[in-house]
Amino acid sequence: MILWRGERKTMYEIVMPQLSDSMDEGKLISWKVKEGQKVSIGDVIAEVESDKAIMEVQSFKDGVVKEIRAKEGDIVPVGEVIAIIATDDVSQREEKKALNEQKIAAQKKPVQKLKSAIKQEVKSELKQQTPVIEHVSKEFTGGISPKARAKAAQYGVDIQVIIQKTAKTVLHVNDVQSYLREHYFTPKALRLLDTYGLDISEFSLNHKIDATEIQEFINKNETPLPQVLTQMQKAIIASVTASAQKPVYHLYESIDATLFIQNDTYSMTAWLIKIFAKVMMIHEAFRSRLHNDALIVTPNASIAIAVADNKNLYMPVIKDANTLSISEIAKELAGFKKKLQENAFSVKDMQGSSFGISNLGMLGVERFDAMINKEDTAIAAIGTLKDDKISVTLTIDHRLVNGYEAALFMRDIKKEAQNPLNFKD
Amino acid sequence: MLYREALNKALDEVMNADDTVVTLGEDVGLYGGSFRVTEGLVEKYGEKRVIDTPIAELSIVGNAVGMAIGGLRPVAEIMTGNFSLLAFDQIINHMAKFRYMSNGKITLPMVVRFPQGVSKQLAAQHSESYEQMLAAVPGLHVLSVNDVNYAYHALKYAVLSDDPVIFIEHELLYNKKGEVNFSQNLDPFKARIAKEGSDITIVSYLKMVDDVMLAVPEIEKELGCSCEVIDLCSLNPVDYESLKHSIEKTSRLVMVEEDHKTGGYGAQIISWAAEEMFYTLDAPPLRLAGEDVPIPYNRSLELASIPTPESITRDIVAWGKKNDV
Repeated sequence: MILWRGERKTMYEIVMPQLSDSMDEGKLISWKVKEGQKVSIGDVIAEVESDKAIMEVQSFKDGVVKEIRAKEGDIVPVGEVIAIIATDDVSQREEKKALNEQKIAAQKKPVQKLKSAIKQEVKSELKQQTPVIEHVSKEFTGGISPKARAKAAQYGVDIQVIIQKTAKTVLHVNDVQSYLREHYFTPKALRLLDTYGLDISEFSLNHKIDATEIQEFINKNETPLPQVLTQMQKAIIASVTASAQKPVYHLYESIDATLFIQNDTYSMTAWLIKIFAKVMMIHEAFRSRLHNDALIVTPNASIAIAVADNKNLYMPVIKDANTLSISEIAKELAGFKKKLQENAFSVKDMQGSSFGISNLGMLGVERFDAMINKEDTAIAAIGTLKDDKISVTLTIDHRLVNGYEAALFMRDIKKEAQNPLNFKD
Repeated sequence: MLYREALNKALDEVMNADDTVVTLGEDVGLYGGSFRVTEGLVEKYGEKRVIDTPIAELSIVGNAVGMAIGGLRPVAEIMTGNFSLLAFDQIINHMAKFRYMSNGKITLPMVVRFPQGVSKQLAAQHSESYEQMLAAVPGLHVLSVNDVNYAYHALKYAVLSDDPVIFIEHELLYNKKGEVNFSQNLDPFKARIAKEGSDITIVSYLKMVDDVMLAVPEIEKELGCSCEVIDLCSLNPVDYESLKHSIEKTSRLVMVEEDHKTGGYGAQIISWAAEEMFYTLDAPPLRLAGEDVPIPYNRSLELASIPTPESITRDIVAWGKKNDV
């Protein structure tokens, strides 16, 4: 039995596939590989004609074609071996090693050598007399999990057939599942199945299903393609979820935008950063953030700016914004835009802020409120220009700033927005 | 809040709200209870409602049965599970049966509290668990909570319920810390999902839930799988719905309990699974329980006689490797 297992592991037999329920033999149309040629999973090995159509036979394993048993034009019964692929050199080596060890051990104990030699002879005789597979299935009795049995019954598959295909001592539902997958689907079909997260139960398993059939199913049912989340998307989801836990309140205000309009060399966002940074220097609470149960107050005002395209939202930080001139701020904003296009933001770009600004004014949004970024204290949501005014909605973490303090902060913002001195560089 | 404080708070609240609630047992009054569960109650409610009794378990439960018949809501404390054996006639023949025998004319709104289990070197006569006997008695509800929040809610429920309840506590749980959500509306007969997972359902109760939780990270790492841990909470009735739901997801069941394996409580869960969940199982169920020996006094032997986080990890990993987890 061990010998049989070793063979199964290293030698992968390609058999004449059953391509439809009524097919019991097939014609080998052409070989696509030669003996000694390397093949990998999904490679077409041969073309076979059933009673209905010509189909490709693909390899389910990587390896080297060791033997081709049928000639082009041959009629071969279903299930008969047409080619053998050597799949695993390592286990061959292990087998040799085991044999060597046996030899060495036998040399040390000459009496045992005799016994084991007899045993082996008997074994090999037995092997010749009785089909190996039958021998295995006898040993197998009882080693089938109830769930595996139920699954095989559900699909009308003879469990003994699966036992013959696997070399395991106990059959679990996964073995039945892989048998069903390999038996009824081509490798390309399986890849498609897995990419779209489809279950094999969606298909009636009475013929070999190829990629075309799966694609038809996908088109017909308009199956959506699941997108695997990137690390960045996962991080954004985590931080937005954390943000939703914060006890926040809002302040709805408008600020006079006359001076912003007059000084349009630089963008509205750039001016707002300058003014918010200045006022943050007066109100320490807005320069503080919660970090691991400690309050961190930064000496300078660092502001996170919401930068987004269709796919991603980032909150890169303009560090020490209060020390920068308006042209320097504008330059940093331009840098963010470039990084967004090139998908080049790093984790470091997003660190160190205590306040955030999100501006959707340029898209015509009149007013909205934003979610506080990570450990920040508050965020300002900027709306569009209307009657020379822009709406500002402050979202504030109540644990760090109370309403009175927030009102003072907002009053100063409004005052500074009207101060012409701020619009000189 | 500690587990014992949660029980104390629950008792305090129901005694405050309902004059008919009394508690009785050995040292529950002046001493505050051997495990400090009744601490401070005698000062607040007096000796008539917090009653120190003689060392006579049969009379403690017998008196409680009488009080319940007479319209009170007694909460009797048995100092250690092993001592309850003296009270079993009252528990089984009276507490569990009066309602049935009187055709429902008599109700017994009473609770017997039951500290039990392997603590630390209390030896064979002070370390046993009796849930397997108590859960087998029709007419009793048997609660066995692991979680601090559940302890508070389940004891309150037990005292206010008109049915007789055996409330089992594990002696090593009393100092367990946890949060109590006082405003929660909690059903103590519903199993608690201590941890969600998709590949193995591990069912347990009382202290063993904590040991399982300690073992789970290593098991998940070794087997590359995810474990679901279920705290039964109620041993009779059993929330089979929750178990069914979990096993349908995982196809694999492990039962972990501290009592002796032969005739132990977990056998009920496994036999239920074999009867009802057979075709959903992809591996033979595994049952980890105490050895069939009197609990030894020697600490090393004591630990060797019951499941520990190490042995739980070792056994589940070995079983998992054998069974395609």
